[in-house]
Amino acid sequence: MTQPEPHTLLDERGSRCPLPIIALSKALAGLPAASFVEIIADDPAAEVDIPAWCRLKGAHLVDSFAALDGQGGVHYIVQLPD
Amino acid sequence: MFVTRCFWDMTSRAPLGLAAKEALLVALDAGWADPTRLYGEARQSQLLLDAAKESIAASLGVRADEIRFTPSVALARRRAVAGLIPAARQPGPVVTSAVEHSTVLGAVQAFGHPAVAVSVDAYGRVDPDEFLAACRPDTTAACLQIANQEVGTLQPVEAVADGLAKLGVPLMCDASPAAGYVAIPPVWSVLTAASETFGGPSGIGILAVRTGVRWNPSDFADETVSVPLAAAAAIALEESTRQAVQQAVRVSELVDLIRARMAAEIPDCHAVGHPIQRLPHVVTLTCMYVDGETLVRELDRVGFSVASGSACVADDLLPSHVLAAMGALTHGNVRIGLPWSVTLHDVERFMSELPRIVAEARGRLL
Repeated sequence: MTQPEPHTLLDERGSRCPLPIIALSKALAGLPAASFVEIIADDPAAEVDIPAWCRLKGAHLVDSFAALDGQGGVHYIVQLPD
Repeated sequence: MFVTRCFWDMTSRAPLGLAAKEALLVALDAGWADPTRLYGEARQSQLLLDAAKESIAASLGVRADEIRFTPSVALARRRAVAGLIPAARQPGPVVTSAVEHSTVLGAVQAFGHPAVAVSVDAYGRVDPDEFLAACRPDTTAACLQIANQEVGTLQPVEAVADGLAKLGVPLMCDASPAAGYVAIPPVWSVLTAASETFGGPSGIGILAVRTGVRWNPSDFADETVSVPLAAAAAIALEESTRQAVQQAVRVSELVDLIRARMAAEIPDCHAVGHPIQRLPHVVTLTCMYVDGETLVRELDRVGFSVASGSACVADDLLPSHVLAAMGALTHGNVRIGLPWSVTLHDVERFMSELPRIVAEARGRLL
């Protein structure tokens, strides 16, 4: 994967659904088209909810991968539509 | 202010209908004895049990000797799986939809038998061609529900039945919560149903096995079931089936109204599940940015009993396998199962409360 443009990073580990989605939605609100937000979440429901939210809102889930800092969770990189 | 309660969780455990309650009281007096004994009281119990089987067989369009009772629908599902797997000629995998009831999937898994789960579309419906493509001549059994228990979507059981018959693969259909609400297509080999979802008592499950199906009967203890509960379940199924003829179109139109008004009047809310190929009385709503448990509590305060499909209430935090398979949001869900007695006035009152409840719940989180 090519490294995306500089973007917002949210660490939502420890927060439960629907809080990670709310944080993601708030972070993306007001950002210009095609902006990126990266969110780290460890709620198992986020594995379903973040892709579902992206589909419903027309956003693009660019990538997701396990966190490498030893604290668990998954990184999700979300891009607003053009 | 006095508010009429609206019990809108018919797919979980419904209040006992009047006719079923009367049947239960009569059978408590007349059918308490163990029907397997040899004295007069036992024969009377046996008569009531036989009558219950005949009634349920008539409602489902099968023969009375093909009906068995179990102490719960979960047990009926486990016995269906346990009856089919050891009897199969070939050891191939069991093919299921990805959205079968967890007790069906769990029973297959507990048996240690290989299984293939066929994926579903965004409405929770399997594609019949895809389902059949997963089946082979050595497939042990296919499990496809009549309708989904969480979102009410009907599965294409008739469309897969011919293909399965040609392959010689038995079809297990879980009919809860469809039985008593829609006609059950007579294409199954083994059928399970839940008394509590059609106005009957809990504590009794129905298992129907067609004559000629390869079946391992070893795991059967029909005589341990309660005869009064079986008698009440039979009357409840008769009553709900009769009501369906009169009410299904009207209630289905009320579901259409909820779906349409919900999407139009509340931002970031929509119904999940198929808009047309669905049970007449079931709709699941998703509201983004709230948790389903909060919606359930607030709706309860204004007189509506609904279920939460939210993952957040489960102890293990795992999202619903049905919603996950559909790619749907697993939070902010409310499942509604309307009773036949629902009125337009009830629905209008619900729609006058819901936008405020969602807005307030969002206000606390955002």
